[in-house]
Amino acid sequence: MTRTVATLISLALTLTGALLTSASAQSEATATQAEAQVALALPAMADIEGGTVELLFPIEGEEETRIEPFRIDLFPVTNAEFLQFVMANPTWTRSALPEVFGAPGYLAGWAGDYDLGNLDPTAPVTNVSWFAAAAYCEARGDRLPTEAEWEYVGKAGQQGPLGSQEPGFNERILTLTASRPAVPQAVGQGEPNYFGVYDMHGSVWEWVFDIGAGMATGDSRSEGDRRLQLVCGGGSAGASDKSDYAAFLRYAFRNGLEGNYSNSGLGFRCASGGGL
Amino acid sequence: MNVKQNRPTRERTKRSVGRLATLLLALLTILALAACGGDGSKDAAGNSAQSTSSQAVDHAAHEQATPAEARDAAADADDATAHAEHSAAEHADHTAADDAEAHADHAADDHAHHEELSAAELPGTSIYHLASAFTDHHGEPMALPELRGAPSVFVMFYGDCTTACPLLVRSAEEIEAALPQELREDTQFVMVSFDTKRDTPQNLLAYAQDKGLDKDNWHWLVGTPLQTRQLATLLGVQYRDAGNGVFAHSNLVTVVDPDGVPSARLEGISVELEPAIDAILAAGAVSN
Repeated sequence: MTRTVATLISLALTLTGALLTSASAQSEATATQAEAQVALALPAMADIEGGTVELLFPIEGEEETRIEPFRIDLFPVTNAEFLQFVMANPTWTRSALPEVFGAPGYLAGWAGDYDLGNLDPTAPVTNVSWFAAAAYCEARGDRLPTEAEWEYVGKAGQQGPLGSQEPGFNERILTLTASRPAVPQAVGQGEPNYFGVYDMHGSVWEWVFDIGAGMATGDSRSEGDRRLQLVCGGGSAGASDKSDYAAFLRYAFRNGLEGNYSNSGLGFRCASGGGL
Repeated sequence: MNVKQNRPTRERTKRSVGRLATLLLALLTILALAACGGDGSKDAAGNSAQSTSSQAVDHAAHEQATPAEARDAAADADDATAHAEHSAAEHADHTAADDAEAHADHAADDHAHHEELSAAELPGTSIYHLASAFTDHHGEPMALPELRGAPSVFVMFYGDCTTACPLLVRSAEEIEAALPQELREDTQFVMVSFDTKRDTPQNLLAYAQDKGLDKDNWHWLVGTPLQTRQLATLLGVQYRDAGNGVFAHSNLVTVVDPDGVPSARLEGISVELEPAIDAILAAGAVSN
């Protein structure tokens, strides 16, 4: 059933992408066109039951983080969907965005403010800053998933919510993480996880609402101890699961990000509900 | 104490004077029309006063080219009429001639100032591009671009924090105390809470009063979770809600120049304050 829904959604995305590619060929994009296209791209989301997640670097005294029920996109946001957003919100075009919200490289690869050029409309949008990703989700009435929520969904296996209990899970995720394609492929190509969510691993890195939160220091007078945990030899001693190498990569990557940064392998998806 | 009426930056004061001048000009126009045989009934005058408020806002929004300034004008839409009432009360002892003379002087200054602001777009690295309004400790909306025109000191904290946050606030106090008198009054201190649920305006007011920091140039703000995360991301502050009212967070004091561009960043507690003080002095020297 989930796969059928996903297939239908993929078809819808493809249709949307085709329409948008056609639209982007036109030099003048009107608000009416944008609104009509937005109507085609209804987000497909999975309902995630609440639970608890053990973050890789728990705060002292914090064993598990409570996850309230929330919803999360089945797929990363695509180029076509993000094009709709900037057409309706021109302040987020490459030429209009101030550097503080998007460093040089923002939407690199686009042929113009409203033109995807050679990019696949059905592939995840990349070269987007955190500010732009957050604005996209806000415009949709949603938000970025928190780091804990993302990790909660990302830890799911094929048979259950905790993939580490399935043989070969960590190795499979690490292989997917290490073999990301240089150019992101169309969303929804792989197998969904237990929650029916696609592309959590092996497609693009993804922004979360609270970047760097996993490395926030405790309410103490010292500064930087948490970063030492991550970047110094022996730093893994404080990690909750030392065999989850892919998680180390994710935390390390997220911890190094600035909000206006973007690159060709970094995208996002949206979430809603939950404890925020 | 109404912070919105006492915003201390020179720019804001000039803008308020400019809007007052516009209101008076419109009022004079209405009276002139009435004298020329227009609909000069009391009702018409009352309706015109309302539309004058709108005109003042529209006028400001059109003349101020930056989105921040336009938003600032929009934020004042609600109190434009109140402004007119305050103006009437404040100037009750003035004659019409006095007002007309003041209008002429201020209008000239204001026109030049608007042109100056129009020409000066926000720098691309200004944190004042984050323009949505937070709520201050008096329950009033306050958008960061309102701070434009004077150096500001930003600290992110939360009210129930008992160890690091009081020291961060103390650092800001010590920075203020180290400034020359004129800069001390001009510099803005912006304390923004991580705790969007518990740090209500009332609680922030109590916190400020408890520390003797319910002052015109101290702004205790709370926003939505997104606004708070946006500001933290701009400032480079990391934090995490650990639940049960505790936030893990990094400890930063950030100075921004009058355009909102970060100019000094103190990381940690009990660190040397000179870089922050020097940055404010430098901003003061430039603005003078």
